Amino acid sequence: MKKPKDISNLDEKIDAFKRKETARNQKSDEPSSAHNAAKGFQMSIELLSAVFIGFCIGYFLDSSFQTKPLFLTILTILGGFAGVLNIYKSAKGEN
Amino acid sequence: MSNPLEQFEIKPLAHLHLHGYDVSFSNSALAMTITSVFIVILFAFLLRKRTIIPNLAQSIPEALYEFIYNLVKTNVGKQGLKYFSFIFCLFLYIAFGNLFGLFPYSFTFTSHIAAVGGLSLLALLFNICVGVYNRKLGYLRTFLPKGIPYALAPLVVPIEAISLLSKPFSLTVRLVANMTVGHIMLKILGGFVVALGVLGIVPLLFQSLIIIFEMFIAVLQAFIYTVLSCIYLSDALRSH
Repeated sequence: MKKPKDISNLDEKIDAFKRKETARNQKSDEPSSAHNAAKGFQMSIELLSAVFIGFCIGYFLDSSFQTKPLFLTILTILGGFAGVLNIYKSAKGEN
Repeated sequence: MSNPLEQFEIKPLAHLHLHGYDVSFSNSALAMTITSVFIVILFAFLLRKRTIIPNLAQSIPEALYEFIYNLVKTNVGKQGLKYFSFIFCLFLYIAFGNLFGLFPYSFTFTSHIAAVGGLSLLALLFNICVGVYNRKLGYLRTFLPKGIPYALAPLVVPIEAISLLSKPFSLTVRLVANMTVGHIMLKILGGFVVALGVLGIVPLLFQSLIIIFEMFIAVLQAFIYTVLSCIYLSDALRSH
């Protein structure tokens, strides 16, 4: 017959195990450098796409109203602002 | 070694011209058709025996369904569940399209800006329609968030409008760039395997790892596309 295992310090053992598990979980929660690189890549796409869309709308308006380069200039700059807004929104959404 | 960009070439399979427009049935259209039909057949096959306690075949689509259901619920909220079917279709279509592209001699339609861009524009139009339908004129608040003085409207409205219009573009570029880069890398490594002869075993091993990684990327990108669509949908449903 098996001897009953020592359960006198079971609570301590459980606590130690829990501490170890939480420490390990905290470690894995930290984003890796690859994750950060992916995030940076996404942010750059957010910025560039807004500038590009602003440029496209400006170009379209200019070619339809013959006002080159008025709208092109204004909307490209506004596109840059919109890109920063996009980055701000996506960064706020993640935290 | 053949050109690594050759795989993205669109070739018409059946020529068709309508009012001066080229609407030929291309290899891209064939890939889309196969993907859609495959999803329907796969789901019909897996769900052929519907029981309350699911067997293995039934639990696969159910797990997928529940995964996307919870995604919509957490990102859009209870009112977003009405549009669940759209999001679910979007996810399946992109995920299976990406995975289908990994087969040899197939075609990755998700690596084309025209295909994914069309899908993203559809999603944008859908979001605008949902926003206008649910909030009526209140949807215009998207362009001028609360708390901003009306004097700033000439500056804020174009910025918000560009921000809204750039969303489908950034969605498209993210997916297309990931797919294109992965397939070019696979093709170049494949070229090395042939060119190096016996030593080609080294890039072959490397490539087997890369293709597993590409499968992961294919599903991950579909997931990211879906999550971002959900977030844009929740923006359309709620004011800031």
